[in-house]
Amino acid sequence: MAVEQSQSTRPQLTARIPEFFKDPVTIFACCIVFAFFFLGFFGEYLAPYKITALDMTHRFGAPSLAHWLGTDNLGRDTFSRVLAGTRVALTVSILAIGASVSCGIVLGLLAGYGPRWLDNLLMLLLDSIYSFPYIMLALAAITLFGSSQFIVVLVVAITTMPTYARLIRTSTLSVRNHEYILAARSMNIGHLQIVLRHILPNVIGPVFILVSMDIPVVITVEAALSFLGLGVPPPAPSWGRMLNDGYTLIRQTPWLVIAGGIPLMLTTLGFTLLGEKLRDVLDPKLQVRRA
Amino acid sequence: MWLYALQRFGMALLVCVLSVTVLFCIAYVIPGDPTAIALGPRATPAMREALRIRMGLGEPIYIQLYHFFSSLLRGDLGVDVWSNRPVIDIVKETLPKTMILAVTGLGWAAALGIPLGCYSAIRRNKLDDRIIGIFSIAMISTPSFLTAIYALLVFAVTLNWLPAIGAGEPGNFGDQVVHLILPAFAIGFAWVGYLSRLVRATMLEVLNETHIRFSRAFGLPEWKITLKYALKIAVLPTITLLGMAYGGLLSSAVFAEIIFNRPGVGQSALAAVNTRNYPVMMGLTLSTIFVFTMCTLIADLLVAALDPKIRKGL
Amino acid sequence: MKTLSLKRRHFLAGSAATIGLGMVGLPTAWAEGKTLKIRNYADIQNLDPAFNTAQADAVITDSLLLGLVRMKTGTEWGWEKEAAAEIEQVDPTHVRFKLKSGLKWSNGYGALTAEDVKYSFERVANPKVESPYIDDWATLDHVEVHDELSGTIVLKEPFAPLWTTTLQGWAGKIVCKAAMEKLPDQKFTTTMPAVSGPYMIKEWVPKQRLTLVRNPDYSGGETAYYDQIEVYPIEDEKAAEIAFESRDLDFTDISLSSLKTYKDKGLQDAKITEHPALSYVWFGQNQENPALKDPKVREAIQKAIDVNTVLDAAYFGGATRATGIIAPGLVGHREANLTKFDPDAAREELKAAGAEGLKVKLSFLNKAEWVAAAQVIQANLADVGVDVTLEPLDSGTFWTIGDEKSGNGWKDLQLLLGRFSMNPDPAWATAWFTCKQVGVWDWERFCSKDFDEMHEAALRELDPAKRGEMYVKMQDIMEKSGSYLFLTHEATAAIYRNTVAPALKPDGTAVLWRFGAAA
Repeated sequence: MAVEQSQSTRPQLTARIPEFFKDPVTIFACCIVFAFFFLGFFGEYLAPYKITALDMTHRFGAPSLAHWLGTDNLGRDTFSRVLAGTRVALTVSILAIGASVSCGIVLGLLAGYGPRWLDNLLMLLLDSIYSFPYIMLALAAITLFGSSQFIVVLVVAITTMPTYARLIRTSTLSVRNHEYILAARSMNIGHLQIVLRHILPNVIGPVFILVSMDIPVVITVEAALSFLGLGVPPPAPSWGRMLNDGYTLIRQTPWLVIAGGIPLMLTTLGFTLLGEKLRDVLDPKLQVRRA
Repeated sequence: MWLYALQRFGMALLVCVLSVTVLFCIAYVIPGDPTAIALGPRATPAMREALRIRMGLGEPIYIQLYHFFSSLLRGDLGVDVWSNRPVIDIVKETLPKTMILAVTGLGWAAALGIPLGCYSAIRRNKLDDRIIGIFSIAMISTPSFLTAIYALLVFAVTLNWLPAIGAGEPGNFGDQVVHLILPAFAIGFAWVGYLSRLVRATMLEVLNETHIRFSRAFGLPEWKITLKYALKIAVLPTITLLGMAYGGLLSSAVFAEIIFNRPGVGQSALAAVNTRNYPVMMGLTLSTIFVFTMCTLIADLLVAALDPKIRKGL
Repeated sequence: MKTLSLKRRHFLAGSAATIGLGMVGLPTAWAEGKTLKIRNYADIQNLDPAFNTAQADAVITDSLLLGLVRMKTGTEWGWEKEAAAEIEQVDPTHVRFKLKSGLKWSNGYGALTAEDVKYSFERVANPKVESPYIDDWATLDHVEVHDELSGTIVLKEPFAPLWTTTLQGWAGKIVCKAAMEKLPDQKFTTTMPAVSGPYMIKEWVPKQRLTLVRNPDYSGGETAYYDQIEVYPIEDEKAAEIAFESRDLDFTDISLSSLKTYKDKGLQDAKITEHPALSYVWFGQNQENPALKDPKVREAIQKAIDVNTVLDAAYFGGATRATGIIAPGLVGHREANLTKFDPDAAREELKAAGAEGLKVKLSFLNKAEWVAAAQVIQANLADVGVDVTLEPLDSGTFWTIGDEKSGNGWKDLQLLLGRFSMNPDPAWATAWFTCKQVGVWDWERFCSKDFDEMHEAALRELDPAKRGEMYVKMQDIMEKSGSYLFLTHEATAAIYRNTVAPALKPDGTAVLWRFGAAA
């Protein structure tokens, strides 16, 4: 089954690109994702104010022409911090997901393709990581190494990695005994080559979908860590910390929560819609009906 | 099937042992001296040394680990460093509260999310599907602590309909239920969106499978196909997810527990870490890890029992 | 509790006109109202007065056990007789006391006698008992028992804090000798074997509620108003405030950041109290760290920080600037700070010291007010060209960073925000900054011979005026070292229902058993 899929999808995929962009929802999602990346790189330079400029006389300001999203507890411009915060969100999510996907793929392939004992051992390891409460891990890592963006990335990467590894492992297991793999093996092709050339392309599809849906989840996790005082350390303008500040100061101003929440929601919306569209396009099972 | 179950159970136990060992090593290496926090600024170095010896902190890690596991086998989790209460009592007080919170939170999320997902799948790409989709995503992207604080401000403070804090009078069932509503609402909120998206996605896949298409060809009404055939299959990955979610909520319920001041595992474990109350921290974390592995195990076995494809494979 | 659940039931039945019910809520709460619902910031851990872990324990112990004297409620620091019918200082090392007759222990342990007093005080002073409060009885020789009700406290040397803290505080509480001797190790934690105070514990549901009821055997005179006090442990201040607003509490401390909001918003059926607190908050610099070794650099940093803005950011105007580590109202309070905010001078001094482009790290506890304060300090120092990295730490790590016994963290420690709570005697403020404390609790590693000598002398000086002078000088020495910048003593704010008349010590600490109904 998988063979047919991988062979039939690719030509169709290119053919589908125009259709992909015909859907207004998809265009909307793409715009958001593009904006996310764009602001991640350039947001800081577009910010109207310096993100660390304090102005205690104008704290808790409501949105105005001067401050589009109001000001925070130290009188800093929230809009500038939201823009600059995209960088933190982007780096944390891309680095964390990147690291966890690459480790997950390697471990998943090893477990799925390797010998049974290795599979068991890796599964034991992955399940242990998965069962470990991420808050405990975060607390431990941060008390050990101090809080930094790197630690947040590390914690998120470690905790999401087992999901990818499991996914890859399951697909690998279902593919490894297919005829074309057996045929390749009988032709004395090296294991590494089999894995890279024949298995990986067949199992990687679902990972992309999961990735696009996990990126916003990572940002929420960062928010949760900030709530416990474990997130990206101040004065970095992370959305998570803004949400947390908004929670602490909710009686003083409602705007901080809104300012931190809206970009998070938009990003989630963009990536989730894009992820679902990608699956629609990539998953051949769904194509029959559309046709 | 039974052999498979037994294998999986053994694996789950191994997972617990491994996780706890890791946790133990973490406790060993993280900075912060429990004796300094316990005794406060008034403690003399000699007093702190005495407490350190009482807590067994001076010994090498493998000895400490050996002591921990050997007393664990006897059902002894040690005592709270500051109040001398047995840790097992603390686990017994807190774990059920968190478990109930997680069950109710996920319960209402499933009760709302699954039907929403089904409906979305049937009405695929229509306006109502899009609206549900946007709401679902908004729900996913709201951190639970924000839901919690807004729920509190609206229902407890402004309207004064529901109590704000605590877990309710011990022994008074009605009161406990009333105290459960807001925290359960807060932690289930994001899951409604998550489940509805998952069910929609799996439904769409299932609805395209051959036998469903056959049924459609036979002219069965769409809703009948959905409920009678498709849902049965689509619910399988949902069970797996729910199992993991349930276990995971034990640690992420910490936000709701802090904000609603509910004495649960998460809140207590966090406090234990902050005061370096290691026996309590170990006991509580061990219990959550155990419940988590058991939940995923049960979910896996349930799916295996329900899914003819997997059942055959065993 | 009943009124509330009644209301809720109405809601659940779907028949509630909520506004109307809200209005009925008040008078019923009052009628039922011999119950007081109050927040404690943590759950009890150890009620033994020799081992109270924190104020959260002490506030409960206070209603269960008597001392010879007790601290007055109100706005002035002072004491009044409690278990003692008579008490007087005969000479600098002898205090004679006579107990009130008729004081009884619960659980059939008979009368409260001078033997109990002897047992309790000597127990704390005994190094083998390892009470953290041993210093409160630092110069206790023994307690002499004359007869059932009278005795004399004999000191080895005069001890100034005896009246201001020891006797009124945790170390001055009397426990029941007969009951204690029955216990293994003669220690207890959360189950008190016998009480003599106005209340006793009816029920403790850990982490949820502690219920105090009147002690039927109490015969100490003044009786308590409330039949029952329900104490709810709530750590998060925000949660406590919300609980109060939704009427689950009658009295709670609130965070200073909320104080202003409550004042601005106005409250319908509740009142606010504010008290200056005793604790002291300071900005410290590790004077042994290579980057801060030069006193000129430390002085420049002192001048570069705008304390008023720092306080405004952290406490929203709820706390005023401190002039030292000894709060107003106590002996030894200092009138003014020596240094002033002067960024221009700071910039020049840094230049002169060759410390331009200095890079340092500021360590602090990761709570909202410190995070805000630290960011202002960071901005202030950036202004004069000092680059500050912020290091928020969890309480477990923070409380050991300067401790030599807990690793090497003390060497890397550079700048810190510190806060100590304190008892109403200046000796408890200066005690942590002596040379002996370097690397224990003195994390700035400040050490001055003059300071140490004066600290010892002031402990023995019984004349308040002379004592006061010494403490003022000691704070001058601290500030001149450049290592300290005194920020604030904080403040305690609480919010309570109109129907309640709270009883608070001058620093805002609640004395539960003296709470009454508002006239």
